[in-house]
Formats: sequence, C-alpha cells, structure tokens
Amino acid sequence: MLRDFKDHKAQFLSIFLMALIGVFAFTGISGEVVGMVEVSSSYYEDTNLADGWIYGEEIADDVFSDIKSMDEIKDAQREMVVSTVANYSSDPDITLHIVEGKQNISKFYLFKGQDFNPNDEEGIWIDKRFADGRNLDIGDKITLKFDGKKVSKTVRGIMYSPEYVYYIQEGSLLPDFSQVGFAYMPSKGADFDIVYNTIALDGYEELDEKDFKSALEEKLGQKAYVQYVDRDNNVGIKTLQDEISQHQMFSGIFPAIFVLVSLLTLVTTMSRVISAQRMQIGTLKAMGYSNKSIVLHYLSYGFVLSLTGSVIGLIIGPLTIPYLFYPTMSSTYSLPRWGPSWDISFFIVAGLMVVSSVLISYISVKGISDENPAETIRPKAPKLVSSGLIERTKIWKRFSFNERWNYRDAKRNKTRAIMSVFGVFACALLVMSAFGMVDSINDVEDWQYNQIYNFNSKLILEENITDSQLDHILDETGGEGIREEAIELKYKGIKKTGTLTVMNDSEYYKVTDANRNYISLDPKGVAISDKMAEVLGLKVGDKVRWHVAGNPKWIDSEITETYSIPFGQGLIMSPKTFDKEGGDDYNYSSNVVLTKENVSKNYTGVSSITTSEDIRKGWNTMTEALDLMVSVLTTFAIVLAVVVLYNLGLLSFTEIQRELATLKVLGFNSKSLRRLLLTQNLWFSTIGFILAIPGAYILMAIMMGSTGDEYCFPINIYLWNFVASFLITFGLSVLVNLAFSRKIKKVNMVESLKSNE
Amino acid sequence: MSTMIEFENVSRIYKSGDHELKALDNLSLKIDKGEFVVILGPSGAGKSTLLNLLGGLDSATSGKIIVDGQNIVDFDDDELTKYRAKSVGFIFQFYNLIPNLTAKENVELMKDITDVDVNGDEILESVGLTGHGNQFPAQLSGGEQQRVSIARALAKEPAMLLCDEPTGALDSNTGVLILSLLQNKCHEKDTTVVIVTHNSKLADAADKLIRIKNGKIESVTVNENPLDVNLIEW
Repeated sequence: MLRDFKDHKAQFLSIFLMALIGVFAFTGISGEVVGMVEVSSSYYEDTNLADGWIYGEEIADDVFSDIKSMDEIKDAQREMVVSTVANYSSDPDITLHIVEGKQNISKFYLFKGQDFNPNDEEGIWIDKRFADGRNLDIGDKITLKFDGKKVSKTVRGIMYSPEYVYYIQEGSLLPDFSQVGFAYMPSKGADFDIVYNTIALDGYEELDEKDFKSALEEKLGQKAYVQYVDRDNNVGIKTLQDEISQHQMFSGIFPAIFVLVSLLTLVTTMSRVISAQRMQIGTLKAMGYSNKSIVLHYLSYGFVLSLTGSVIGLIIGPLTIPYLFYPTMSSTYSLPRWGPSWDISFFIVAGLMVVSSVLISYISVKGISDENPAETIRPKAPKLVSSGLIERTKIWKRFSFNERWNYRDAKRNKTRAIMSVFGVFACALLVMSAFGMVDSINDVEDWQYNQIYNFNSKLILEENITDSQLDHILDETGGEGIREEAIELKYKGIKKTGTLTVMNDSEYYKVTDANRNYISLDPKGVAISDKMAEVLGLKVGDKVRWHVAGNPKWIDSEITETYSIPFGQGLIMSPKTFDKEGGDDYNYSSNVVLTKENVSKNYTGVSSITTSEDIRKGWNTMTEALDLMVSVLTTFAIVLAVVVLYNLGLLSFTEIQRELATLKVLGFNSKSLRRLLLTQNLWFSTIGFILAIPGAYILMAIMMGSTGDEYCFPINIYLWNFVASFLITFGLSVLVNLAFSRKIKKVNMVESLKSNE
Repeated sequence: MSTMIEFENVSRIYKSGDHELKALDNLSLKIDKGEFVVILGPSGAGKSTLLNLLGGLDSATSGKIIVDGQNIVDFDDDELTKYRAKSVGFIFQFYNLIPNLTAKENVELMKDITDVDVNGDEILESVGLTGHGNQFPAQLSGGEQQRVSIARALAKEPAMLLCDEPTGALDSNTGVLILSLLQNKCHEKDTTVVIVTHNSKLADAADKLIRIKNGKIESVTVNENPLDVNLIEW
C-alpha cells in the first residue's frame, strides 16, 4: 500500500487536498457566521437580554405594576435612560441607565471590577470600549451632565451590555468609541428626582411586537406609553443580526459550491485511480486473493485519504478563516468575545466526503473484482465511438489532427470532459461573482455618494433651533434646509421602517430613477422608493399609512411616483405636501442642512456635523468585511481551480501517455504534443467560462436579493471584471498545462511501447 | 550496394543502483540500403534495444551509429525528433494506433510531420485495406490494425522501416500476409526493412540474418537467394 502511495502520489495528494480544501473552505467560512450566532445568542441568554422595551415620557408606579402583572410578563425592570455628556474633551455622548433596584434583565457582562450593586450610592459602571477609548480604569471619577443636572461617580466596573452590541454617535456611520459610550448606575445614587422612561421586559415567551402591543393597549390604553419595541426590532441587535445575515448569504452558497466541486473531483479521481489499477486487481485475484480482501485493500485508500483531509480541514478551517474577520467586525460591533464555532453541518460535510470516497472506491473496485480475473488482467476494451454528426459534415475535413483528436478524446471520455468543464465553470463562477460583488458595491457607492449626494457637509440641527439661527447658518454656508425623519410605513398589514425626506428639488440631494437618471419629483406628490414599494407590495395610486417615530399619529398618503436609491428606503415629499398631508400633527421645520461647504465651524443650534468624507470612510469600513470575504473566496476559488485542473490534466495525461509515446516515436515534437493538451484545456476552459457568465448573474442576484429590505443593490459586472476573470481562468489553465510540458519531455518512448497496457 | 546503417562498437548499459546491465555490448554491424534484415535472438538478447537505438528512441552509452553518413548518437532531442519524423517508419507489436482517429486519419496524421503529400485512401489501398478508411482501430481486427500501422509508417516514405515483433500478436496466416507486405514494400521502394523477432522461421526470408545473444553478434548470414515469405513453412 505504501508503494501505491508513492507511485500515485499526485493523485493521492489531490484526493487528500480535495477533501481538505472542500471541508476547510466550508467550515472556515461558515465557522465565522456560526461562531457569531453562537456567541451572540449565548451572550443574550447569559445576560438575560430583555425581550422587549416600553418607552414612555414618565412611567408611573401604577402603570409599572399593571405591566408587571400581565400574564405574558415574567419580570420587568424600570430604568431612567438619559443622554448625557461626559466631562472629557470633545464632549463624548454617554447614555446613562439609572436602574431601579436590582439588575435582573439585560444584565451587563462584567469585564472587570465589581458586580452591579443596587445599594452603591457612589458607584457607576462604564462600558469597555469607552473605557479603552479614554483610558479609564476602576476607581476613576467620571462626571456626566444632562438637563442641567450633574452626576459625579466613581467607576466600579467595566462591562459590555447586550443592549449595546451596536451603537454609534449620531450622524455617523462608524462608531468612534472615544466619542460614544454608555453607563449604568443604581437609582439610589441619584440625588435628583428620577423620572423612569424605560421598562425592560422579560417574557415567558417572545414578546412579539404586534401581539404584545395589542395586549398592552388592552391593559393600559393608548396614553400610558409612547412606544413598544421588541428584541428583533432593537436597532443595535437588529444591525448585528443583519450583518450576520449578510455573512450567511456568503457562507451559504459559496462554500456549498466548494464542497460540491471538491466532492465531484474527489469521486472522479478515486474511481480513475482504481480503474488504472485494473491489471493489478486482476493479478491479485488470479493469485488467489479473495474479493473481500481486495475490496478492503482499496477501500482503505479512499477512507484514509479522505478522512485525514476532512479532519484536518474540519479543525483548521474554523480556527483560521474566522479570525480574518474579527478585527473588522469588532471595530463596529461590541461583543465580549469573538470566536468560531462548529456546527453539526460541518461534520455532515466532512462525513459526506469520507462516505462518498469510500463508496465510490467500493463501487469501482467491486465492478472490477466481480469480473472474471481472465478479463480483468486484460485492459478494458476501448470504448467504441461512432462517427457523429460533426464528423460527417464538411467542416470536419478542415479540422486539423489536433482538433480531431481532442474532439474524439472528449467524446470518448465524457466524464473527464464534463468534470473539467465543471471545474473551470466553478472557478470562473466564484471569481466572477466575487469580483462582481465588489463592482456592484462600488457602483452603489458611486450612485449614492457621487450621484445622489452632492453635499460636502451635513449639519444635524437641534430640535429647538430658532429661525434666525437657521437663517444665519443657511446664509453662511449657502446650504439648504431639509427634514429627515425615521418613519414607520404600513400597507395591507405589512409594516416597515424607513426614512422620510422632506425637501424640494435640491441640488445637494438629487433624486434618481432605477436607471440612475436624474428625475424631478412633483412638489404636490408623495414619492416612494421602488424597493420600499416592492417590499410593501404597493404601486403608484395606492395609499400608504405612515407616521414619524415618536409621534403616534398615522397619516394616509396616496403615492404618486417612485424613485430609486441604494439605501435609505422610504418616502420623499415637499415641505408643502408634508404640511398638507400631516395636518395639525406635523409641521415642517428643517432639521438638517446640506451644503457644498466643508463646514468645521461650530454654529449654535447644530448638534453634529458629518462631512461626506466621514460618510465615505464609514462606508468603506462597512464594506471592509465584504472585501475580505471576496479575497478569501477568490483565493479559495483559485486554489480549487488549480487542484481541479491539475488533477484532471494528470488523469488525462496518464490515460493518454501511451498515445503520446506513440506520437513521439512517430516524430511529433514535444511542442506539438503540448499544444495537443493545451487545445483541450482551452476548449474546456472556454466552455466553462461561457457557462459561468449567466451563472454568476444568477448567483449574484440571489445574494444581492438577500441584502435586506433597506438596500437596493443592482447587479453590475464591469467589463474589466470579465477580463480579469477571463485572465485568471485561462491563466490558470495555461499554467497547469505548462506543468505538464516537463512530463511530456519525460515520456519514455521505450517503456510505453513495451506492453499493451 | 551502399551501406545505409553502421553500428560501431555500440554499447547500451542500463544502470540501477550498483547493478549494471549490458543490453548491448560493444556491438558492430552493417546494413545496406534496401536490405530486408531479420534480427533473431532469444528474449533479453538486446534485439529491441538495438532497434530502439536505431530508431532514435533511446541513446547509446558509447559507440557510433551512422545512418546515411550521420552519427545519430550525437543528436540532441530536437534532431532526434526530426530524424524519427523523416527517416524512420516504426511498426510495433501492438500496432499503437491512435484510438481517437479513424484508419485513414491515422495515416493522414503524418501530414503534420512530413512534407510528403499523403493520400490516405491510396496508401490504405496499397496495403489491402480498401473501404476500411473510416473505421476506428477498435473496429478492426489485429491484422487489419497492423496493416494500418504499416500504411502509417509508409505514408512518410521513410528510408527504413523498423519492425518490433510485427507478427507477435497475430495468428500465423495473418502474420504471413503482414510479412509479405513488408517484403514487397522493401523490394518495390528500395526501403531498408529491419525486423526484430524471436521467430527463427523468418530466417530464410531475410536478405541478411543477424543473430544476437547477450548483447553481442553471434552470427551474420547473407542469403544469396532469400525465400519469398509466402513460401515459408510455418
């Protein structure tokens, strides 16, 4: 057996590699997602993350006890949550939770220091990321200011909170952890009147927003609270969940393709290695070995090779690939721990590799050993080919020997031909879609930030800004005032959150249609983004219900037109229409100023400024994980393609070695023999590549379609991407072919001609 | 008659580890142009090695092999390839046809390596295979395949035909047909034919009979009146 390994080391190595790469790619890429799911859900469970939150202006004791006594509620915890400013440079925003009594729901995850103590009047607990950002440690004093009040406490602990897996300073796309944070303190430590505005709920079951809201209304009536949000709709938790889903769409399809390709190659290689041993099997049988011992002998090949490959892949996959993603992920999200995890599916895939390779070995050996040994020791009769259609046409006469030979070779060895085409197809498909993702993302960036957004600074105004302050800002910056609101939309029972932009035709915020042409909206109408219309299932002429977050008054508006935008799906209307549609409940005032200027000056009435550069930076960080994924996939695709192509090349080389020797004896030089192999290689590559083009579109459509309701990402593959994919695919094809040119030179004419094998 | 092939003190030594095997040991011989030569000897005598060296498939360890005035031992790979393409027609025991090509295509294959204008149908007709041109090797009998192989070798009009046990895989009747075909071609076209075999019955048909044993010439016999192959008793 060891000698067999030596003789067929290339094939055996490739069986081993196929099992390894297939399992490695699958478990590596999936391990990242599975790990995140596992870490986040155990984090939520360990800290008893709230199932929902009730927000109100002031939650009175009787309301609180009413809620606590509801059948669905296991426990409830009252908090006063306020936005404060900490006493550090550039005024970082700290969200302060003042917890009534013990902390039983959404407990924080202590990193360092003491546990939460409801009786500690001087203590405060601050979040790890902010503590790192500002070099804070246990025992440090921190002062927070809000509404003219002041809280000065000593840091008792540094922690993470499950309610804050994702949080960000206002008006930014990327968190700056020295600028934003959160803190917890007990209610006993407050030297001012506490006004509770939040209740964290722990239900016996999930507190689904729709169902629980009606239960709440039944119990309390409308007035007692402002808003109820369940866990799935908590902004931070939802953002992380969306990120995970985005990774899932990659880890679903791509690794599955890897597994499929490696599985197929493994199976073909295994069966061919065994067919090549035909004579030996016959000889062993003729010498009196039993079928059983022969079958066992060959089964052990498939088993040992695929098992070692799979096991190694299973172990190192999740231990390497996921760690590439964690730095990027942790710059946006806050989890106490980042780590991969193993899913049952990993073991299934590894098992599949082993089982199929053992099974195929069994079938192949059994097929041979069931034959009469006298037949077996003779080579298998060559397959007959009849002259097909092409051979009868005139074109055939014009084919050179090279073309004829390759055509018939492919025809006689259909499995090998199909496998080669499939290998190239899969490689080109993966490379093309990976590049296509990058193209599409860049395309979207260009659309949103160059075409639609034409401002350099975005000034977020304070709610209480005076008209003269606003006029002053508009004057100085030459900007335009608009209003942006988070809204909830409803149509026929489907509810979605979105963005409302109230503005007239603006040169800083241009509106486009689906083909990226600029359009002008009717100032009297209400426009909906096409993706939002699609998600809600409505069309122009239908009436959509909407209300601004924080204002319970629902408005019905008739949709008059649509527009297209990559992200920030929702409605656009003019200030006049907003006032008209909104009636007494909504009055237009600007809360955002867009300007071409690069504003750095601090105006009164402006709460924050975002420059287009900040936005782009945030965008680039957001897409960093994606870029990384693309590199990982491309690398895998290339490695896979090399192994598949080399492997199939090797198989066909071994099979035609005798023919090559004959041709050499007849006087063909190595160059023309190399061309013979290259021709075949290029044919298969071309077919595979052409098939991959529509394949890539379909694959990307599936992936882009799963980006979520908030995004409208059209598929776009740039020309250079085709060229690059083409070059990579064919480059590999030629490269692999070059690897055989040395082998052609070494074909031993004398040896190959001696026997009939 | 002019000398076509000359071996001068040719040795071919195979080494594997410390073990040395002298397949040809300081062997010298001469073959004239247009001669029908039979090389006889038991298995392992070095017959095939001799033929392989002459055909440019293998290189001698020492000595000279002069073919048409050129020492092919000095040839590099490219020159050897050209030499095989132009001067040598090989006929193998197991035919070695290209299974992917029809009989005619196997013959016309030679267009790619010689300047000779190859007409597949004509050549196949000359070896008695009219009408089989569009069949694949697997559809032909052994004798038919060997005839295609001869047709292929003849197609490039080589100076010599080298045959390694050409009848080894054939029954005796078919064998006679093949040999007489070779003998006829030899005399018709003044092509040198070298046949390697262990079948001593061929001895009488040869113009020149060379017996070798243990890598050395045992005897060289020139037949003044070689028999027609068809008259040999099998």
